[in-house]
Amino acid sequence: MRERYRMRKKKRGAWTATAVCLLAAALICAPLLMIPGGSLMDHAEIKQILSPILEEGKGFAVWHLLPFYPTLDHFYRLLIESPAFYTLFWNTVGMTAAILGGQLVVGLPSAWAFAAFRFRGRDILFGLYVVLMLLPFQVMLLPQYIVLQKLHLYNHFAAVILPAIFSTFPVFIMYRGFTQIDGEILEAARLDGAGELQIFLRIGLPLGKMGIQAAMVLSFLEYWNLVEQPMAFLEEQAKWPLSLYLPQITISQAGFAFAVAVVVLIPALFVFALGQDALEEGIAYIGVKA
Amino acid sequence: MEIASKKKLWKGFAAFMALMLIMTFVSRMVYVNRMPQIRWMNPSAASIQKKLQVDGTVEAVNSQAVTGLEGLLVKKVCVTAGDRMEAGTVLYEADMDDLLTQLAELEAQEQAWQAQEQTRRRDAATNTVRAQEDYDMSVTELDRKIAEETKKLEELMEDLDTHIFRIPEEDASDEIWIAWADERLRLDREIAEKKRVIEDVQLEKEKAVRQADRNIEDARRAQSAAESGLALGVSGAGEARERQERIALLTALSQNEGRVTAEDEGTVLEVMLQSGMRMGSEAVIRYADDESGLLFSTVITPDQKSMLHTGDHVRLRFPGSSEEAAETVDSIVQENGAYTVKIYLDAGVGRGCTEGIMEVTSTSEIYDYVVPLKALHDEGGKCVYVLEEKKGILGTEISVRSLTVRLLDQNEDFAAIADELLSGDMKIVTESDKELENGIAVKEWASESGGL
Repeated sequence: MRERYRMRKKKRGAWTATAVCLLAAALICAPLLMIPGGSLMDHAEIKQILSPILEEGKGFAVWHLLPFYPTLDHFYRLLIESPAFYTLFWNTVGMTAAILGGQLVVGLPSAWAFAAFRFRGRDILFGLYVVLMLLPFQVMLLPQYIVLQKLHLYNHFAAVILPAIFSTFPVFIMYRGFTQIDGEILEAARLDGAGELQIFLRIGLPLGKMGIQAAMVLSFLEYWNLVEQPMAFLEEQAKWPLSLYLPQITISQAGFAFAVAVVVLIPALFVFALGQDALEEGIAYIGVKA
Repeated sequence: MEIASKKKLWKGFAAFMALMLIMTFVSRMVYVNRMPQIRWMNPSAASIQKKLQVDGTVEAVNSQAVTGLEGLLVKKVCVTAGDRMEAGTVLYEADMDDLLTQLAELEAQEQAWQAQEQTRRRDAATNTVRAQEDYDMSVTELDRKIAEETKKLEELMEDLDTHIFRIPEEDASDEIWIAWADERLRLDREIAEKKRVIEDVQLEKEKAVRQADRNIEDARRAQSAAESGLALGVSGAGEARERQERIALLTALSQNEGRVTAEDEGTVLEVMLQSGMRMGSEAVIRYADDESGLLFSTVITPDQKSMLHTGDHVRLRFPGSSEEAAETVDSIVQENGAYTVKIYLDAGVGRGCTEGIMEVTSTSEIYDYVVPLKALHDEGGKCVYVLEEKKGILGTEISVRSLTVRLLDQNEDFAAIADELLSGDMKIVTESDKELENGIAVKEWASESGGL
């Protein structure tokens, strides 16, 4: 009897938790759901919806997911009549690709070194990496600015790309992935006469790919939406990434802004979908081991 | 996730990126295609040559008029303004049916009037004769009466003389004396009475003669008036005369088959006739005869006035003619906010023309910055678009910036401008295939630049 009561109570608790989670999920997803609908609304409809909060500031916007007067005008304008959007899009693609490539070149060996080798000062160095990872950008802004000025890199793509390449966060994640590899496997390989590069390429990369993929996905999501660094280090608008395009759009072009958001989301969704497994596993590894 | 699903995702991602690449080119093409194409030039120092060209009219200083034949219907107008006409040139044709109808009506009226007039004259003559007869009768009758009374008087005088000779003796009785005296008194009275009667008759005769004379005089006057037409009164006589003149005119016109011809030589200035209209008594055609001089007149605005002064030499052209003449401005008079320019043409100039074109050219001082007039536009004041480089998301582009300038002078093609910000190396937009706005990006037509 008591057992049944406990089971019923447990079940009720599970339902309540589910309901709360669904409610929270709905609240979190609401802005996301507004984007596609808003991108298909005409200007008058959006203005009508947003005017209580934007013009009068006294009411609430009553949003409807499906537009009453659907139109593709905003997408036409964005995709056909806005070459500036593409300039920034390809800037973003280029910067993100360069950063991810650079992180693979620089961060991957670093992470492998921390995971596979025991050397003097390793823990201190790794601790320094962690500290750097934890420092917010605002703290690093001035030193980075000074360094970039001295190197004559201010207002160059490299001003954004180089600091990002040497970011410690992907090193940390890839390190966690590499630590999943059993040390005995590496010892066995060494005993069999495999060189360190061979071990890295043949054992380290295949077994640590989840961590690498997780680092790449997270880095992509971070640098695809990079705002502060380009705003601080890139003066020329022609070098800006896409994330700085939206602030250029005024509120009177809300529908256009929604259309931009939809297109900007697409690559991120692809990358997320492609790296979802690795991201989940990688984060799980990190969580377990950390 | 399965490998197949991942492959699909990769393909989708690749397709998306390919699409974005294609759309990049498409949007760039659309952007460039919509971009205004402009031509530009550097402002340069130059003077402004102004050419004033205005239309005007050529008219006779003293124009003549052909008055209309009132009430006639115009069938055809044979001349237009500017036509040369000689004596005998057909000016217009009257409608013959209408003309003949009017002529017939007038002739009928004239006949009736003539008959009436004849009767009136006859009556007047009769009255004169009768008055003379009355006069004669009155005089005869009264003469006879006077003669009778005179005879009676003479008889009474004889009776009196006889009676006086029969005076009684002094010693006659009183009765005799009284009877004689009474008789004498009676005779004296009768003689006096008769004399009075004779005087009365003579007086009556004088009156009768005077009245008869008056009657004769009246009758003769009436006859004379009837014969001369004065009996109709001033208006009646005038009407009759007018009618007769009109009959004569219409008859002559009908003999000329309704054609009205010019009497003088000259140039037709204005024709106020139209086929089908019925003429009034006012002028229907104005013309300049060859003896009168011609006057070119035109109206210019206050702006144009600055280019023209009395005594200036101008060129005159006449549309439809190859004739050109150099003339001098004779007067410029301000009228209702505008200026009327008058030029008395030299002999022989502008003959046969009703319109002319006056041209005058003047050269200004040298201005520092002269641009084509089409480079100017209005934004509350005069502005030019200046090319400048603009750095934006699309990189460095050429854009236009509106610069407000002061307009110093201008002609039909060029304008002299001034502003502190102007410089000779500025690129001023002179032409665009689309409407420009401040700040928009533009592209150049190939190989453009240069001065005026």
